[in-house]
Amino acid sequence: MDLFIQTIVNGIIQSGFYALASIGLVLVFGVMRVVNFAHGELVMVGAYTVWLVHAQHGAPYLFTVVLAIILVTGIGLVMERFLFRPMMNDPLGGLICSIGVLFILQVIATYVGGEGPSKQVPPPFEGTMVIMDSIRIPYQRLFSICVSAAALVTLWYFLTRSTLGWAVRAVSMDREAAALQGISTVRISMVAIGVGAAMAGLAGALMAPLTNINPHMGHNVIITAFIVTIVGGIGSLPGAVIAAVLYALFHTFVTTYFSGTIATISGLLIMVLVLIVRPTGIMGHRVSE
Amino acid sequence: MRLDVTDLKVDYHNIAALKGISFTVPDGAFITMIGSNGAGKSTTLRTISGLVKPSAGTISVDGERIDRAAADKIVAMGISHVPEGRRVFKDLTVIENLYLGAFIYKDQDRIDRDLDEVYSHFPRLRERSSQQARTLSGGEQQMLSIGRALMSRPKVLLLDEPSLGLAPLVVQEIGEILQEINKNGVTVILVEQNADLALRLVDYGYVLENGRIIMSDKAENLANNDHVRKAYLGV
Amino acid sequence: MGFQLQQESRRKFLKQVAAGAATVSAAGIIPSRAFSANKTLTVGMNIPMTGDLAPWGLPGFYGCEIIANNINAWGGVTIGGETYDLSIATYDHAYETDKAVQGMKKLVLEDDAKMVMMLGGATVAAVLPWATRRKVLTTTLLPSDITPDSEYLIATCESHPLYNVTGVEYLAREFPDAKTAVIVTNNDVEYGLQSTATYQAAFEVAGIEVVDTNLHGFDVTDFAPIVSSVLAKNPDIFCMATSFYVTPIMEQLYHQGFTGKIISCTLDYYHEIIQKTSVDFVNGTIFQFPDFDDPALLESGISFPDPAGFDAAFRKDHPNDWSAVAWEYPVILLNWLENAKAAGSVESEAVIAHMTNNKQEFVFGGGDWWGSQLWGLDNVLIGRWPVVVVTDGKARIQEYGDLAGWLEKNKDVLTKHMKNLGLRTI
Repeated sequence: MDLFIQTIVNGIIQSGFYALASIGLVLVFGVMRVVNFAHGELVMVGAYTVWLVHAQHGAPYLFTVVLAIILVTGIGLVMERFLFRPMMNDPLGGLICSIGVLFILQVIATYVGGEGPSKQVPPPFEGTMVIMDSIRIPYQRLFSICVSAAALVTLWYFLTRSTLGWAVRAVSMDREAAALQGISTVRISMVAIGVGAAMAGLAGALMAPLTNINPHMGHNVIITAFIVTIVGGIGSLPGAVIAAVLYALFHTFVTTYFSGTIATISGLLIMVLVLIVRPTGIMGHRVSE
Repeated sequence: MRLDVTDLKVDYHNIAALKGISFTVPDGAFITMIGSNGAGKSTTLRTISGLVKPSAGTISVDGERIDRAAADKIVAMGISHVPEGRRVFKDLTVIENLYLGAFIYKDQDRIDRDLDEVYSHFPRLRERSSQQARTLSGGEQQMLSIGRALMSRPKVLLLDEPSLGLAPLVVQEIGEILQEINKNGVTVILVEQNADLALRLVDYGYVLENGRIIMSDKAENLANNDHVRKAYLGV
Repeated sequence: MGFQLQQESRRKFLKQVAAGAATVSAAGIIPSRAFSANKTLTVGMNIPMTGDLAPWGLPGFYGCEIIANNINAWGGVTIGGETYDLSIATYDHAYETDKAVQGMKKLVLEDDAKMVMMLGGATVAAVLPWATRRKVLTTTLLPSDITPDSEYLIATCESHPLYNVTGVEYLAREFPDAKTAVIVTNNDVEYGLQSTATYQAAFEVAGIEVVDTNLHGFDVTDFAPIVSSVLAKNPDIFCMATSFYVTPIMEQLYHQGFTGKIISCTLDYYHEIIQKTSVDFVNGTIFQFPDFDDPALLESGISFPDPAGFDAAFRKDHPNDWSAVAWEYPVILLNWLENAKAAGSVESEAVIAHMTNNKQEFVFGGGDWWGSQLWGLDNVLIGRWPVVVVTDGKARIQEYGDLAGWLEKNKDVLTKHMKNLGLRTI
C-alpha cells in the first residue's frame, strides 16, 4: 500500500516535467506547423544555465532559473526570426533547420561544459518531507512540482482567458482565418515560440538539480514530448497536459511494478496504437471540411 | 469607401487564375460576382483581403494602394473578409470568436457596443455565446463568421459563398441581414454560386468566366440576360 | 638471475617515473620534446573521449599523459638499446564500433602505435579480428572480452567484473547481520550483466539472499520508481553492479530513507554524490576503486610509482575528472613498458611472449594469469584487489581482497550465474 501511494507521488512529480517539457513542442507545432527537433536541447540549455551560473559560479538558484528562462526564450525567438520565419511555407525546411540547431546547441554545451562525466547540480533545497512515516517527497521535487503547476496554470489562464491567448489558439486552428481578423501570424509565432521556449528553459532549470546534465540529455526529453504530443493530440494543449499526467503515472507504475524498459516500450506502443486507432489523439478533433 | 481594382492578374503555380480584371465599387454599394466554380470569384476576394498576392495590377481603397499589404494589415484599413466555408475558430466559444473579430481594437466599451449590435443582428449568437463554435449548426456558424467580420468595423465587407450548404430559410434570413448591413453604410461585395439569391439582393453585378469579367450590369438587367439565365439561373 | 635483473631494472624504472612525477609537479614545467634527439615510441589509446562513456576514457588519457611527460622529462625510455621519447596517440571512437575499427587502423598504420589500449566491450570485439590478424597487442579493461582466439588481447589491470567479490566478502564479514540484498543496474551485456552475475555469485557464496534484481535500460530519467520498487522488498543491502547511474540512484536512496548497506562496483565522482545527499549518508558505502592519495597505497606490495604524487599531478590539471580509469590505463602502460624493456623489443609478439612466460607483478600485489577457466585464454592478470569504503567523506582502502583465492574456490558458482544471465563462458 505504501509503495502504491509512493508510486502515485513519484508519478505526479514526474508529470510536471513531462507537461512542462512537452507543451512548447505542442505550442510551436500548433501555431507554426513546424516540428521543432531542437526542443529537447532548449531544455538542456536551461539545465546547463543552472549548472554553469549557479553550481559553478555560485549565483542564487532562483536567479539562474529566471536567467535560464530568459536565455532559452531568446534562443527560441532567434530560431523563429532567422529559421522558421524564412521557412514559413516549407515545414520540412523548418524541421531540418531545427535539427541543425539541435547539433549546434549540443556542440556549444560540450564546448562550455567540456566532455567527461555528466554535470551534477547540488539541490538548493535539501531534505525530504515525510508524510505518515512512509511517503517521502524531497523538498527539491516538491518545489519543482509546485513551480511546474503554477507555470502550467498561468499558461492555461493565458490561453483561455486573454485575447492574445485566444489569438494564439486561433492561429493554430486556422492561420488564414486568423489573419483575416487582423491577427499577425508572425507576432503570434513569436509569442508561441517565446512561451514554449520559456517553458522548456524552466523545465531544464527545474530538472537540473535532479538529473544527469549532459549535452545529449535532450534526447530523452524529446522522445517523451513526442509520445505526450501524439497521445494528447497534435496541437491540442489541454490534450498535451492530460497526456503528460497520464503518461507519467503510467510510466511510473509500469516501472515500479514491472520494469523501466517495459514502461518505455509500452509507452511507444501506446503512441503507435493511438496513431492507428485515433490519429487525432485523446483530445484532438477530426478536421472536417 | 470606394474600391478600385485595375487590371488584376493572379497566378497560382503558374496557372493564371485571374487574367486581368478591372472594376470599381462605389462607396456604399452592394454588388455581386457570379460565375461557376473556378471562374476566379474567390481568388478576387482573397486577393483584395491580402491572402493572395497579385502578379500584376492594383487594388486601392479611396485611392490608397493596398495590394502589397499583409492580410492582417488590410483588416485595419476597413476591409473584412468572410471566407468560404465560414472558417470559425471551432475550439473557441462564440463570444471568443467575436472578440477576436475586434482583435485590432483596444477600446473595450466600443467593442462591447459592437458586440451588442452583432447580437441584435443575430440573436441566436447571444443565446449560444458561451458554446464552442463547433457545436453550432451550419447556419449559426455562418452568422458567427459574418458577426466576427462585423466586429472589425468594416467599411467594405467581402462575403464568399455565404449560402453554401444552408437551408433556404436560413439563406433568406442571412440575405436580409446583409441588406440591413449595407443600409448602415457598409460597402458589400458578395460572391455567390446561388446567382438567383445574389441578383435579388444587390444593385449591380459582375459575371466572371475563366478569370475574366465577361459582363457587368445592373442586377435586374443581368437577371433578364439570356446568357446569365441559361448558365447561372437554370432557366 | 635473469629474473633478479629484471626486478632491479624495474625498480629503477619505476623510481625514475616517480622522481619525474615529483620534479615535474614541483617545477610545474614540462621539458619540450623539441630539444630531444630521441626516437619516438608511440602507444595508442583507442577510447571514448566524447559521449556517455567518456568518463571511462578521457581520464585515462590524462593519466597516461602524466606518465609520458615524466618519462620524457627524465630522458625517455630505453628499450633494446634504443632510447625513445614516449608519445600517446589517441583516437576518440565515442564508443561506436565502426569508429573503433577506424581508430585501430589509424593508430597502427598512421601513428605506428606499438600497443593500443582500449576500454573494452563492443568496441574491442569490433577491432579484434583485424588486430589479431595484424598481431597488434591490444589491452582491455574488461577481461570478459577475452576469447579462446584473442591471443593478442590482454587485460593487465582491471579485473572487471571479478573483483566485485572482494567487496562482498568484506561486507559479509564486517556486517554479518546483513542477510538480504537487491541489485539495481543497467542491463547491458558488457558492464551491467557481467557485474550482476558476479555479485549474485558473491552473495550466494557469502550466504546473502538476493531478493530482487532490477535491470533497467538506458532511457531512465527518473529513478524514483525503480528505487521505490526494490526498497519495498526491505533489503539489508543495496547493490549497484557497474551502474552508469550511481549518482541519481544514490540520491533516490537518500531521499527515500534507505538506511542499509550500499555496495557498488564504482562510485565515480562521489564528492558530487555527497553534495546531492550528505556525508553521513555516503559514509560506509563500499566500492572497488581507490583514490591515489590513499596512504594504504604506500604499503609494500603496491607497485605504482608515487601514487600520491600522481594523484596530486592529476588533480592539479584536471580537478574534476578523476574516475576509476584515471590510474588504470597508466598501470597498463607501465606494465607494457617494463615487459618491452625486459624483452628488449617493442614488437607485440616479443612483448606478449615475455609477459606470459615471466612472473608478472600485479599493481596491488600478487599476479597470476587467469581467464581460461571462464573465457578460454589465460590473458587476464589478476592479483589482490582493494576494498574501498567512504570514510569521513573520503574513499579509503580497508583491505586488499584475495581475488585469486576466491576464484579458486568458487569458480563454478560464478560460471553458473553467468550462464543464467546468458553471458558467454566456455
